[in-house]
Amino acid sequence: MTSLTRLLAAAVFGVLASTTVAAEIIITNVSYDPTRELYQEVNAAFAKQWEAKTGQRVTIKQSHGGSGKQARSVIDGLDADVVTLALAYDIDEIAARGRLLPKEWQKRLPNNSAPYTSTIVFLVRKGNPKKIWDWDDAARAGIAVITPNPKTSGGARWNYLAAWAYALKKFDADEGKTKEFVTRLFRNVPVLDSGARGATTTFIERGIGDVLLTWENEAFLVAKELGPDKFEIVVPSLSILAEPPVALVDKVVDRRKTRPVAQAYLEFLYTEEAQDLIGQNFYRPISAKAAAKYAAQFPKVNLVTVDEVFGGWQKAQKTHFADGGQFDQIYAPGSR
Amino acid sequence: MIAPVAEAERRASMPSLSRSGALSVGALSLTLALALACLLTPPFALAEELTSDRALADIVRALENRIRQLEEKLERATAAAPAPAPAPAPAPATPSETEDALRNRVEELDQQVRIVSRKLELEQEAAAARAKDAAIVQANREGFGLRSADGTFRLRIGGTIHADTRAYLDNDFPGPSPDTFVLRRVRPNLEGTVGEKFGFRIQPELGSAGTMTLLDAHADLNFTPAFRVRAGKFKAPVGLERLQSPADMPFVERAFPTQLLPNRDNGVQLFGDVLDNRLSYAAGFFNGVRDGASADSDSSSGKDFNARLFAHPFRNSDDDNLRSLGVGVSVTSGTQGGTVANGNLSSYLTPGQQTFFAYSTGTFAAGGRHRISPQFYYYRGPLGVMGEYAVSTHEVTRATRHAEITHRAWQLYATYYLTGEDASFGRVTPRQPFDSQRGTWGAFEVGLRISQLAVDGASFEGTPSNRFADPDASARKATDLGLVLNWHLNRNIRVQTNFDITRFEGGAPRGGDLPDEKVLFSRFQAAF
Repeated sequence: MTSLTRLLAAAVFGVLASTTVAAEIIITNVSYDPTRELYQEVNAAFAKQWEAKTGQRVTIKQSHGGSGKQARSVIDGLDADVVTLALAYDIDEIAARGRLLPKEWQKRLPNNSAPYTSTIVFLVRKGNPKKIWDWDDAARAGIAVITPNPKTSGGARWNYLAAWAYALKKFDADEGKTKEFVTRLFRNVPVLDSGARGATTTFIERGIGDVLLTWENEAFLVAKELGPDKFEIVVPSLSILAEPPVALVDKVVDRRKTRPVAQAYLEFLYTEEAQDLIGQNFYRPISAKAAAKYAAQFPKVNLVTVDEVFGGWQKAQKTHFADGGQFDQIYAPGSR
Repeated sequence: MIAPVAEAERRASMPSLSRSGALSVGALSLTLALALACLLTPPFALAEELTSDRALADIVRALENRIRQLEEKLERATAAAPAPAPAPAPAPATPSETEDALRNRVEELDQQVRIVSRKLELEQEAAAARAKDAAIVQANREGFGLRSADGTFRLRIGGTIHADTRAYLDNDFPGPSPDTFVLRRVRPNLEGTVGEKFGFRIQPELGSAGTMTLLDAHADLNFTPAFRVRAGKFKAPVGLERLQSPADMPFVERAFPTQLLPNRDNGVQLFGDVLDNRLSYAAGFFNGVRDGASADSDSSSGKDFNARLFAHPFRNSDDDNLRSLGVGVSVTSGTQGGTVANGNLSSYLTPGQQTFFAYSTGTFAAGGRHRISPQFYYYRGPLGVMGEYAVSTHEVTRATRHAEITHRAWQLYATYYLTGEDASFGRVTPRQPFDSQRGTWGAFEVGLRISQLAVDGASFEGTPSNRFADPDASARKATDLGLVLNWHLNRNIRVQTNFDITRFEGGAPRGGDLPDEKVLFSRFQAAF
């Protein structure tokens, strides 16, 4: 072997070695609005576990916003190694329009790729001065209801569908009366934020409204952060089972060569360690052990599912949230 | 490691809040002022209308009036309340019904004000987000254009216009060209990027020949600065002066070496900058064009390999004397053929664009064509120097004679900015652009160039029926001396005055020389 050949071989080896023994890897989790605190803790736990297992340091960047808005950002090029969004339809859109992951993405992880569940509850001001106990009260004249915009927020779509499901039951599946009821409810909405955290800010920080329709975890977080002397959680007689899903964004992880760590990150969500963190952050764990541990903190709620009442997310989206759908008819400019 | 959400952000999103319950009149003054806006305008419409400071100021003034009225009303209501009974024991004072109603109204208005404020806040956030994502329209000295917020999608519309005059002095040149005004170049230019990796350029020529031709149309794939691919029609990576934009050339016409080297050609090339930008490379395969020519189509199945290396060895040096020294070499190599009817060979022109050498009818390219061109430039302060040497070798056939002939050309020029600007291979921006009101005059540049083209003597050998060129009609050598004065009014506008005298060896009957060509150019250039 000539010296030139040896030099060339050494250079090639050096380049290969430098690319395979990367000291640190970065992945991005594009999530919905109120999951900041949850993933902050999950990320720390996963990074510790990953480094112990592989010797590789991992940084997980977080991006939060309204679920629909986040999905559009990913479709438009936001590099998400994983998405952890509020509802399956938003990830379906990434698969269908962005073609960034297979359409059967939901079958790749347990529980339809939903490592936790949640529901929608009411947050009212201390003492519940406006006597808001159920959806009927929220739709009463003179009540100011705070909810984000269903066009951009996954949580808002859950809010809307929970109200619709309640009215459908109340009026024995009379669509006309149901629509009128939900219209009355949304006439009480003075301002639409783009995401759930924004709506919380509107209700809490800006002091607007009598009731906040929000994620159960968000309501608990507010109560924990600000104290039970300022706000109260009200559980309506009927709500909806929210199953926020997670997914690997195949084209991004393959391009960025982050598939192993991103896949492990999502699988970590199903571990007992992560399930415990999920319970601590007021999301409903799916593991039997964590669910039992945290069962006492969650109120008993009569829950319906999107599949049962609305025929699945695709149909619900088309009927209610697509352009010209029920929500546009209900919340057209001037209707308030 | 975790990229945490800032604690401040988290706290901000979960603030402690005590909602105003009972509000004192004094503390509510500002709130009421805003609240009363809602009495003047429906709240939902108000949010849409509060888009300017002026509108807000108007509302505040109106609210100040209303708040005064409201405070006066509240004071009157309080004063009108019955005084506490003196005996047997004073009953606790209770707010009057009027006061209660007023307080309820205040709370209601407080909510409305908060709603309006929040809507404004959200609108401002949305506007900021829209502005962040909005495309940016640009109109500046670089031309006109659009670019996406992240800068990865760009479109630039530019152009070059050269309006020339040519005056031939003592023109005894055979078949003299007339003194003329000429639109030498009219070139709109469209270029841009489509995402981070893709670029394009489309440049037609509308001037000179009177018909539209496509000068440049290429797509670029930019993997990294060191590894880029270009395909389409574009300048072959060979001649130094050819690669300089005509809007940046100090002289009106290019020198002789450029006539021996290819112009624009169809092909594909790899190119890039390596070694900390000290070395530029380009190499590719092209259809192959004759000397100095461009072509849209290919008359031969042979292809040319063109390559160029150009180094700035001291680019990153602290030594100002050498930093702008660039040296390089380029080559082309290929096999090209022609026919009796279409020889695929070039004539050579004087600076005044008159032909001083042409192959005889029936002469055609027949075999290898190779070129090499060492080149350099040097810029130091207002001084600019460029030198270029070109050798073009062809296999040529006419009738029974086949030979390999080699033409050579060189040029050397120096320019100097009298107004002190730094000379450059690219566009120079005057320190003080022309402004008659301010009494500033732009930049003035002078230049001197000498250039020569020597035709291979073998071109004239043989008999009248098989020699490649007629010695009584084509010169063996042309030597040009050029002087130029350039007035750069600003970066986009330039006025040039250029005198060239060219002397010839041969080209006239009975072994005589062609008469000198003396030509005075002037040019008005608009380039953006």
